[in-house]
Amino acid sequence: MQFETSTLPHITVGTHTDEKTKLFTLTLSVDIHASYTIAGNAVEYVYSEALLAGTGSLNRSQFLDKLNKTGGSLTVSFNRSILTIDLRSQIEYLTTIHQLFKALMSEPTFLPTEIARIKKNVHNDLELQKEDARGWAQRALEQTLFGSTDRRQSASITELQKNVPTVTRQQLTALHERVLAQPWIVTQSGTKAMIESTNKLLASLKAKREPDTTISAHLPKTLERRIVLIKSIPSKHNVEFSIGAPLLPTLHHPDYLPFVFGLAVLGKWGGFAGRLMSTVREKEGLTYGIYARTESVYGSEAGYWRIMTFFAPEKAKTGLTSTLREITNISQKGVTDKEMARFKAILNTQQSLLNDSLLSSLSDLHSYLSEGFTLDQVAEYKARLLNVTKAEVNEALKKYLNPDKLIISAAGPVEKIKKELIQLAKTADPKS
Amino acid sequence: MLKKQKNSLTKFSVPGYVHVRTVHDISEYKLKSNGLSVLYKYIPDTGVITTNITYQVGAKDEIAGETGLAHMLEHMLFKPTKPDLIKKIDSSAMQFERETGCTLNANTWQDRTTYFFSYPKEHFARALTIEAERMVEVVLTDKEFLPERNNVLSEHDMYFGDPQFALNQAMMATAFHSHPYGHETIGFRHDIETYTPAKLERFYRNFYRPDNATIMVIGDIDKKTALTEIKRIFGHLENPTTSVPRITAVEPKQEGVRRVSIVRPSSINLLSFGIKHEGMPSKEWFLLSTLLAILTYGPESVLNRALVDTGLVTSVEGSLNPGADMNMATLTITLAPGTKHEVIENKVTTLIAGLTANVITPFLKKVIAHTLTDEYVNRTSSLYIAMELTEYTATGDWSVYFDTEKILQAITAKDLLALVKKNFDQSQLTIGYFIGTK
Repeated sequence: MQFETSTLPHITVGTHTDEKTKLFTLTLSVDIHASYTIAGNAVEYVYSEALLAGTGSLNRSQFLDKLNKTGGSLTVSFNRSILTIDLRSQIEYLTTIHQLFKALMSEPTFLPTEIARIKKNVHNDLELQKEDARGWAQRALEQTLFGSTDRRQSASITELQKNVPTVTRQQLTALHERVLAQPWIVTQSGTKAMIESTNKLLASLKAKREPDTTISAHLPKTLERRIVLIKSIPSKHNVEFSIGAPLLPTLHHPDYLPFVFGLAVLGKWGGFAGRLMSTVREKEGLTYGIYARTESVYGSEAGYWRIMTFFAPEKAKTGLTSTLREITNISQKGVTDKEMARFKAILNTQQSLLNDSLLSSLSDLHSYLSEGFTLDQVAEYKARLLNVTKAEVNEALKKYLNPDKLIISAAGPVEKIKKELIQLAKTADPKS
Repeated sequence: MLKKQKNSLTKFSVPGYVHVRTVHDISEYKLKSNGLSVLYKYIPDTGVITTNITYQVGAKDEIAGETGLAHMLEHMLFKPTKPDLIKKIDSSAMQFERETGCTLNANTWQDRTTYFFSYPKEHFARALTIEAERMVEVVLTDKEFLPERNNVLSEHDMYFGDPQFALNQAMMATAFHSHPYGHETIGFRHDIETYTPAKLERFYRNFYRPDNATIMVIGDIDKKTALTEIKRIFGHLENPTTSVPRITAVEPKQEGVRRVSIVRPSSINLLSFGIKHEGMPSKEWFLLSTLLAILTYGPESVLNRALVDTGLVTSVEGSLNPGADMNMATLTITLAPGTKHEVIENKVTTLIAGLTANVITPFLKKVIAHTLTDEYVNRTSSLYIAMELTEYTATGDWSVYFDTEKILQAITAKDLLALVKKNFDQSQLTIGYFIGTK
C-alpha cells in the first residue's frame, strides 16, 4: 500500500490515493495536553459530544439530519488529552461532509441547553465505568505510576462526576481554541481530487498561530517493591489484572526497540504466539487471554509496560504465580535464538498483513506521524525492530523487567482472595 | 492490475470441480470428489490471502446437557492433530502462527463454526493443509482437552460477568422452549464442566466433513492455482457414510409475553425487549434490521432522542443475530441511575406503538446510506470480506452479500409499520430486567 506525506502550516498529512475508491476517510488528531487537572478532564468529556451539538448555521437536529442523509460519520473522542476526529464518507457526499466538518471546526455553538443535556449524559456514561473492572485495573496502575499533572493521571469516576456539572461554555470555547492552535496530524484516503480539496479545507481551518508546546510530562515513579492494588467489583465473575512497571526508555532510546521485541516474545498482544499464551493459557489452562506490551510512550514522554489478563478468583493465585514465573524466566534467562528468529518472522509478517487493510495501514501511519516520523524514518524504524540482536533484547529485558518491582492491579470479585493477593505482594520469590 | 483481474475472472473449467455460479467477482465451485464448497474472490497486489473454512455446525446442533459443545470443539481444533503427533510437533495451526505471524482465529455461532487465517501468499498450501488435517484428524484426549476446558470456562466467566450477556442468555432461554437457539454458543457452565472427549468425538465425527464445509479463498492468488491446490489437498478426503444429523425442532407458538430477570450486586440496570423474527436473509430480517436502526442507531434515532437526550437512560442498542431460523433480536436499554425499569418499558412500548409513516420515512434513506458506507469501509480488507460472506454462506445464500442495497431500497414505511404490528405485539415479546442491587 503506497502512502505520501505532505506538510501544510502546522499540519502533517499522510495520504493514500486510489482513483477507483468510493470511500473517503480522514483521521485528525490533536495533542492538547498541557497539564492534567480533574476539571480539564471533565471539559474533555463534555467537549467530545458538544462539538457535534450544533454549529453557527445549523442546530444539532439540522446538523445530524444533514450528516445522516449522507450516510457518513463524524466521531469525536479524547484519550489522554489527544483529540481524535474520524470522518467517513461516500464520494458523492464529500462536499456536504466538508461543509459539516468546516462548520463544526469553525463555528461550534456550545449552546447552554446542549451543554446541560450533555453533562447529564456524561454523568450517566461515567456511572457505567464504575463496573468496568478491566478499565479500573489499568487506571489504578497509571494513577500509581504517574504524577498528578501527567496525562496518564486520572481522577476517580466519582470525582469526575462531581466536576462535570461545573464545565462552562467558556471552558469549551477555550479548549476548542487550543484544538485549532495545536499541530494537527491528519491521515486520509480517497481520490486525488478529494485529497486536494480536503487539504485546502484543512489549511483554511487551521489557526494561523504558533502552537503552545508546553507539556507537563513526568518520569514515571520508580518502584522499590511489589505493590498490590485491589478493587472489589462483586458483580463480575473474573478478576481483571493489569500488571506493570515504569519504562524509562522512550521511542528513540537504544533500549526501546530491543525491549519491545523482548516483550513481544513474552506476551505478543493478540494471537497465541507469546510465551504467556503458550504457558499460562495453553499448557496450564489458567486464563482465556494474557498479553503484554508497552503503553503510552509518547515522543519524549516515558511510559510503562503492562501485562493484561484475568483469572477466575480461585485460580488467581496460581495464575499470578505462573505469570511472575514467566517474567522472572525471561528477565533472568532471556530469549532464545529460536525465539529471535521466530519473532523476526512474526513481526515482519505483521507488516506485510497491513497491506490487506486500508484502515489498519492508515492507523499505523497515523501513529508514526504523531511521533514526528517521516515515511523514510518509519521504514528505517521498522527495519531496526527486525534487526535487534539477542544480546540487546536480553539486556533490555534484564534492565526493565523485574518481578519484584512491579504493580499488580486487580479488580473484580476479590473479597475471598484479598489476603492471597496481599501475601503475593510480599513474596519476593514467586516460586515460593 | 486491470489485466490481472480480467484474467482471474475469465471463465474456465477446472477438472474435478462443478462451477456452481459466479456473481459479480465471486465464484462458487464444488469439489466433485467429496462435495466441499469453494468460494473464490481475487484481490490483486496485496500479497495477502485470507482463507476461511466454515462448517455448517453451531449451537443449534447441540442437545440439552451438551450446550456449548460446538464452541468447545472449535477450541480443540487448535490442538495437535494425528499428523502433528506423528511429526512430534505442537499444533500445526498454532505453529503456523508462531512461526509466520499469520493472523488466525475461529468463532462459533448459532448455525456455523468458522476458522480463518490471513497470511502472506507464499503460505497458501500450508494453510490449506492445516485445514484439511484438522477436518478429519483432530485428537480428542484428556491431556489436551482438560486444560482447554479451563480456558473455555474462563471465557464463559468473562462473558457471563457482563450484565448484557447474562441477561441475553436468560432471555434466549425464556424465549425458546424447544428450538436450540434457546442457549448461547458458549453454553451453560455446568454443561461445559461435564464435557468428555467422547462427547466431543461424536460431535466432531458428525459434522466435520467436506460436504458440510465451505472454504473461502479471498486475496492475491489466481483462481487456477487456488482451485488446483484445494483439489490436491482436500480432494481425497471422504465423507462418512451417514448423513449430517440435524435437530428439526420447531418452536411452539408463543401465547403471551414472557418475562425474566437477573438480580446481581451491581450498579447497572438494564431493560431488554426480545423480538422474534424470521431468519436471515429473509425480507423480515432486513425489515427488523432497518427498524432497529431507526430506533437506536446514533443520536438522531427515535429512542436516543426520547430517552438518552432526556437523561432517562444512558444508552440504547439494537442487536440482530445472523441465524437462518426464526430468531430473537434484542432492544436493550441501559437505565440511568434512579430510572425505573417499568417506567421505561411503558415509554418504549408507547413510542414504538406510536410510530407513523411520517416518523419512519425520513430515516429510510439514511439507513441505506449508512449501510452502504459501512459496506465500503468493511470491504477494504480480505479478512472482513470473509467475515461478512461467512454469515450469508452459513444462512444459505452467499450472493445476498451483493444485494443489501437492493433489498433496503425496496423497504417502505408501510412494511415497517406492519412489522411493528406483528413482531412487537406484546404477546410475542420476551422482556428482560437486569436489576442491580447496589
